[in-house]
Amino acid sequence: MNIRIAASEAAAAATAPGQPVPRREDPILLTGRGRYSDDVRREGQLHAAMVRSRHAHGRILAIDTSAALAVPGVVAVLTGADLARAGLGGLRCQVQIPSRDGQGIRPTPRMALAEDRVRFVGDPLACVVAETGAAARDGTEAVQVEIEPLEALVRPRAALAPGAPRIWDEVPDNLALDFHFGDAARVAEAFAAARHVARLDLVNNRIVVNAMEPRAALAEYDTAAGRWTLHVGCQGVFGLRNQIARDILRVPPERVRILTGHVGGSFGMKASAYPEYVCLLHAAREFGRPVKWVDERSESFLSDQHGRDHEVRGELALDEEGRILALRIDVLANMGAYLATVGPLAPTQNVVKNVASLYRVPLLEVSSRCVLTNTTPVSAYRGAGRPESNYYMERLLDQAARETGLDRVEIRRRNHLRASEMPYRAASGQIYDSGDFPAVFARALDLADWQGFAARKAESARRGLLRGIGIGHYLEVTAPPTREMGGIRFEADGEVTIVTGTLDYGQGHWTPFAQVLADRLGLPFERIRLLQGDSDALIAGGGTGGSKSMMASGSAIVEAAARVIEQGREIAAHLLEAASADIEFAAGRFRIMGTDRSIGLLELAARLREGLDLPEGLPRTLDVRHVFEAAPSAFPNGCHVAEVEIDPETGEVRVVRYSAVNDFGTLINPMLVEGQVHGGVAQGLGQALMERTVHDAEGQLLSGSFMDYAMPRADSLPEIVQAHHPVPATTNPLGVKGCGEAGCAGSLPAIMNAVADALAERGVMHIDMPATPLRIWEALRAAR
Amino acid sequence: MAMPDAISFLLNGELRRIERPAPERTVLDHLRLVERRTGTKEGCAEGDCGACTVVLGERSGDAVSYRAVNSCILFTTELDGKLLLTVEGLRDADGGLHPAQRALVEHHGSQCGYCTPGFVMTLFALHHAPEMTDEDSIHQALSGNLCRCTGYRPILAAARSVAGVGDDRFARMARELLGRLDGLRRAPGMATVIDGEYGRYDAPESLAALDRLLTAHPGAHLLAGGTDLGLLVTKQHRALGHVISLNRIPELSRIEASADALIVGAAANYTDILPRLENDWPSFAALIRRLGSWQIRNLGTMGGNVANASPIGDSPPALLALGAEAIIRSAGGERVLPLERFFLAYRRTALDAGEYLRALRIPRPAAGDFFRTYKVSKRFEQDISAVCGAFFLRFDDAGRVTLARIAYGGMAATPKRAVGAEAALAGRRFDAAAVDAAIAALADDFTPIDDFRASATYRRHVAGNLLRRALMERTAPETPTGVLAL
Repeated sequence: MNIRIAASEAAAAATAPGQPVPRREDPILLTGRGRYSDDVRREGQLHAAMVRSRHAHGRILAIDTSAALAVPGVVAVLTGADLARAGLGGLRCQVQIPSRDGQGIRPTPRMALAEDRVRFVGDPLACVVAETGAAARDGTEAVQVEIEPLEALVRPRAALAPGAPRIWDEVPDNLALDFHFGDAARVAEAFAAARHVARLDLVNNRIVVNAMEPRAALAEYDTAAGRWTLHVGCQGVFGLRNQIARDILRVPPERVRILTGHVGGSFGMKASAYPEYVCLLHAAREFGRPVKWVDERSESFLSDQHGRDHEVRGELALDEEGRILALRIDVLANMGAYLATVGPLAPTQNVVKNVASLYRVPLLEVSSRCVLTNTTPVSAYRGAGRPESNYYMERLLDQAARETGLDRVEIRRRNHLRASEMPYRAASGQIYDSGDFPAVFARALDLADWQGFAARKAESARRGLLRGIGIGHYLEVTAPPTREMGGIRFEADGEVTIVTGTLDYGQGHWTPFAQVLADRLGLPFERIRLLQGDSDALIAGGGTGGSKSMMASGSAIVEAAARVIEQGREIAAHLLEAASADIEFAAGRFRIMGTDRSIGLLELAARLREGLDLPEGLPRTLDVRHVFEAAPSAFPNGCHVAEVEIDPETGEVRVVRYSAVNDFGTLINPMLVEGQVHGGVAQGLGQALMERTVHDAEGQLLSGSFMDYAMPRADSLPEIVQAHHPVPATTNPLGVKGCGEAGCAGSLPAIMNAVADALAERGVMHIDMPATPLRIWEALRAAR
Repeated sequence: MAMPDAISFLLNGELRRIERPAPERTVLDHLRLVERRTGTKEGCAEGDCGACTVVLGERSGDAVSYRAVNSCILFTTELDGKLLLTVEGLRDADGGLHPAQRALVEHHGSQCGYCTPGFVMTLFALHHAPEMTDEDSIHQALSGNLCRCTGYRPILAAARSVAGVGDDRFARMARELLGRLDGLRRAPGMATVIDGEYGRYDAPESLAALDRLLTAHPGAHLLAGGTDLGLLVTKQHRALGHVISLNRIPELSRIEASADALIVGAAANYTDILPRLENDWPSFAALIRRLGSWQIRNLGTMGGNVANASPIGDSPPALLALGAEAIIRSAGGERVLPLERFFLAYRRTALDAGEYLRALRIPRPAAGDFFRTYKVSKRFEQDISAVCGAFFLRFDDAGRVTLARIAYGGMAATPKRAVGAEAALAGRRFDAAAVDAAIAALADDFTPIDDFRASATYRRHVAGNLLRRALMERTAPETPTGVLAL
């Protein structure tokens, strides 16, 4: 008995919150048993393929489907007219952001299939439905499309130029949102009074998200029940269901079910409803058969929402001591041809929230123009405005340090917010609840051996290489955790299922969620399952995004567990013949205080299933369907330090040292947290040094394959040394802060500040992302 | 016994026989659509991302050799006689994970899991590659697998822990596997011929048979590694009509060394060629280790790279500079053509109807020969050259250049010799002044284009700098010039 208790205590300790527990899903994914969207197949399924515009901008004169319909196996060719006749709605931007003139965002009412105009290369025009995938693709080639080309606008400046053609008749000047935050007059005063103004024009380069799993979906329609089921990879089934039901199908949400299995990466991109899904839903009802579509990588480059793509002017006003007086940011954001699901959020409100970072910034002004162009729509990509904003601030601080002669470390120390100032109301209006930024900073410099850099630089110089070191100090404002379900189900097989509406696409939610529940309810960790991808199982669900899943679902699980205990206490009291006030719950057992009379939670669940004769007023079940209401955003922060070596002859950069100290609040599973940092750093490194999305003047994407678009590979990444400096958040019961996007936030500035530092000795005054060998080589030559 | 219109292979140890396989059916499609084994993933369908990586096993002497390949561009016809391993087939009978799978769990090498099956298979092949335990080799092995989630370092740690270990149930059952593979061998004269609704496929077993086939069907596509031909199917959705595989003709895969030359059969793959080049032309070998990825080098052939005549193929500049010759064959006999006369125009060669490239003849070095080849690209591996340069120099006793052959890729519509630069070096000492003169002459040799891979200015400048780098490596060999340690 004692041995068994010791063993179960040891097992509980090994999976307790804070332990690096290996992931539950790994044995499934590593043996090929993952179930991704393209792995779903249904008897009798049809296949869809999209006809996409080859012109960036043009008027549709005719779409002739007759030859396509004659292709053997082709069942139908859908056009915009078919969807309109069926009364389907369009794909709306899902955020509301006030504009300078109070009018809000000018909408771009996008229909799933272009009706009169095409607006980017890849814009879907028609959908071929056929008996096989090959027949569908053959069909797409037989669709005759006549388009009168119009002038294509690729860059926002060109789209704003006087006389530029309108991409949307409804949007004058192609300006979808003119956003402003702050007190312009007071900021101007501060700048006028400043001892020094640092100013930088920065490009936040467009990113092709490139989740390794291309998008895919399968739609089914149950004629008898009048219900659709859409199997699709996304970031939250509940929200997507509501959007599809409300905006597109215009039916009550109960008539739509979204099912999501494994998702092969998303990074913000798969969160949206996409035109293809609308076509599939329509075709499934129309033809009474399941319809499946799988993107091909060449199409993904065009059809998946892109990320980033802002041109920014940043200005920092400083007093004689190098203290920040005011910060002014002007953003020109490329939205692409349609406002994507959350497209305008990143360059506007997320800049406001994040750009002041962990510094004392008394005055803040942000102006953002969200401009339509003839390019792929732009939406969220890992951080969605957060990493970029930290990037702007950190570049500005380095620039200010160089210009004023202040040390880069010192200027940051002088502007740090202190732990004693928490909670702190920032100029953005955000209230930072916790954090010890000077301590994080000091540890990061130690970990990076900042003092030893000079010797390393001299050693690199002996090898003919330029060496630079850069700081990426950051604070991110996570998305606020919103209504999220904490469901707990005691199953007939003795397992316990967590039901929640966040949805992981690689983060590995199952394991840390189970760690939390096992801890709260004293359950064996391996008995806990996670149900996260079925909208029918949910009563709420905010989904995953903005680094909030552990806060949202974690809090929901904590609260739901407390309810399980309350319900269990009542029932246990009855069974043990005691007053419920005398029942304590510990280590998974209800016990009459001070006695050895007890019953285990799972035993109680089993007894309930067998049938108990319970008096009126007692709970009939341990199961809980709880909704966690909301919590404020959290403020993960940290400091990353990168060192690069640059070969001045070729412009080749290598990141040779990298260290990171992060404050993610309480850590539930440090191994998974560090994995998130790794991945974020890799994506930041890709954006900083490699990934360049190139359109030609006609709006054709030139970097449209993995051969042409430089994704980081295994040899691109340095070792990443990590340490944690957790200061628990005070705004959620677990004290967690969110870690999903922080790797990007630290790495963009750390790496680029290191590159700029290395180049400064050769007189290079400015370098933009991506700092490819060509760009560095050109900068070095121009500075000679 | 397999009939001529069927192929047989072992799928994770189970015998499979496909009658009249569609010649363009990829292994990936076969696995996912026919076998319904969906563990193997499609990430790009062009051999760039490695999500579809599977392992091919075949007899190599007394052992089974395991090679990672991209199933997305490999045709099922080429599985004949081989062992095909997929991510579903590695576990032990009791369900225990393979060491490669276990290592990925322990190091947290999987996040979304979509690239994971590909990494598992690459690590499996690495596990069975006893010579690939050093850091460079591990990086080479991973060069063909993309991951967007993990940042790679955890996967690298997993790879280090399994590289070259070679201790798993496959090692223990090698003898049995060899017996079963031998059992798949065809009787002589049973060359595969498939003539069905989707087109025709031939796998002749002798040069003479190939000669006859090509005479009768001069328009047929010749399939060697398929790393380029596969793209016509997966990217352009083209029906190939008639495919003739070169992979069953022993002469074409052979690599022979004579006293003065290496004769590389047109269907020999890079992995097999590499060790043979290592001694003679280490710089060429170093370039090939950057060509494509491990998976691509396991399939791709130098003959295919030459016969494709792309201006940015990686091996032609080196071959041109080395004075390689194309051995061209047809039913009418053989002819030998210096390689610079083989490339006529953009993707056009001197091959006449009915002719094919039988082999490449690469001269071996004489004492004192100097050779370097360099590639500049966005990434170290698996990338298209912006510029690729190759420099061969022979000197007299006084140190004057008696023979200069310089060639570039990415500078013109074909891989091309830099005759002006060569002339500028001839008869002179190989020094800074001579190199300056040669670089000046490059301006007349080439008019490169501007594109998003590199500007014309950059190309011109890099072309000259690569020659300077060769000079530095010749005259100041202690100066570091290469890519930094990984």
